[in-house]
Amino acid sequence: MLELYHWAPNGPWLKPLIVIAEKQIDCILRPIDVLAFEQYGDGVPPRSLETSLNQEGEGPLLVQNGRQLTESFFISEYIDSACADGPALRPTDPIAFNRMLAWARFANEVFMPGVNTLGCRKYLAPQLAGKKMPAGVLDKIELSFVRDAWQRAYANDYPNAMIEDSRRKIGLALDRIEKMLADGPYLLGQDYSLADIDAFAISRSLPLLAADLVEGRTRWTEWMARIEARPPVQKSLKIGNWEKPETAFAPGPEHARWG
Amino acid sequence: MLDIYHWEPNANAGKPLLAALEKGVDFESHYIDMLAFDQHKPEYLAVNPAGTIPAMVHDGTLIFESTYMIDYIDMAFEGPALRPTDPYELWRMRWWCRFFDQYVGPATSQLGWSTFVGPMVRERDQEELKAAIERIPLKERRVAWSKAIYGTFSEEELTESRARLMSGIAQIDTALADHDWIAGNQFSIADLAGFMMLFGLPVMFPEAANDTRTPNFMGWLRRTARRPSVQKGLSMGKNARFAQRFKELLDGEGGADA
Repeated sequence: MLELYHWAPNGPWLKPLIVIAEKQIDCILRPIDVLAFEQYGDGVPPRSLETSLNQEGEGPLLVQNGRQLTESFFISEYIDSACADGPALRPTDPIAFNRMLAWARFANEVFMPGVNTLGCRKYLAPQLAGKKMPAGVLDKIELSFVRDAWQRAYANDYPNAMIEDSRRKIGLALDRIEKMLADGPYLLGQDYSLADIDAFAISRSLPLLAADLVEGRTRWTEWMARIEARPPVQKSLKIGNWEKPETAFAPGPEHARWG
Repeated sequence: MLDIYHWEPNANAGKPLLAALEKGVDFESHYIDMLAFDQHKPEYLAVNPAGTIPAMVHDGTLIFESTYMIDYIDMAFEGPALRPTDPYELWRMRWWCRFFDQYVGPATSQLGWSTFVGPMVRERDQEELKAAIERIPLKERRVAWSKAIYGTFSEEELTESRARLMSGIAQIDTALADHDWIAGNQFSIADLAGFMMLFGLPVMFPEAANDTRTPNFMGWLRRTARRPSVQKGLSMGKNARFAQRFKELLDGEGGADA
């Protein structure tokens, strides 16, 4: 039995939702309200060692037979490797596989932190203005960088240098995506893969967060439309009937402290 | 033909080297002297334009990211499997690799560079150092080298790194309470990558990693250190200080029972 605790179909939450829809897997979806801190409440099982230290910050939790998994890309890899049914979303060629993993690492360390910072400033901080973090929540967050990111959002404290650095990282990611698309319709060439799902889920907010950075990116724009048109992706984006899921942000992975 | 460009068998540089030895794959070893900035010279940039160590080239194709070079070696060559077949253990391997690479790894590097690499490099000519920094292609690496060379890591950064290692090593110790290897009962990429990143800690930061506080962690380091592939890899280094750390780990208290 697979259970997925998730929030709005955006960013990290969107990735496993798409994988489940692509592979047509039976999975119980358990929506949680991240802004009401339900992920730290009694409705979600007590976290294991690994999942209490989720390097993604806030993100989905997959549970299968009592085993817990976090980190949206690795959850996606798990679903693809554990469920033989449905289309394979990982390449069998070692070079393509290497490109997929290298993309995921770059996305975790560079692209996601960049997008997440802009997203939290624009869409999370205004919702928290004038509010205080509920008592006791901070103590339940194991990782200091996640605690700091929530406090930053409550204080709406995003220095210019941080915004500029985030925009620079988004630019690097767009360059990389466009370069990868030079060889075919998908990031790894001819075949659709977890790399596309990963990059699409992170990219989806960019027209709202950094319109100037995506302007003129023809390959990126066409590729985004190609992924979005897929019926499983369409289905995933409608989960929870969010009017604008691409505005849902909560603290994500930390900016790399070391190049 | 598999070409591996590496410095000392330490941190990222050692990962593809040990993986090839563990897997029993033939390869050409190219020693790149990081402290002489060989990695920013044109002949190396022609191999790896990012100017980072290690680099691995298989039949003309550059393979990316040191941890995932191990994955590549496992997929592309015959030999003992370095990835679990059980999907949950595979996930756990990935999870810990990320923890090593992104969480405790940077903290370890910061301590290592501030106490070890920096002082060694500072003995060089100042003008030569300045020119060497300017040649570094990646902005993040330029900043990191600059901080290491001039010893400008802030006390706040170093304090945060030490705190992260205190908790991080204890967490690894807990994970190893139920099984011998990081992902489960099988040696995997996570053990190789984690060992390369952390084997110097008992010497560099004994407050965090010692036989009393973190016995499972110490046992795991020594278990890994005794593997023939690791012994062979460590013997390929040229800098006596790394060999000394390795020896101290094996000879340390509790070394006999691991």
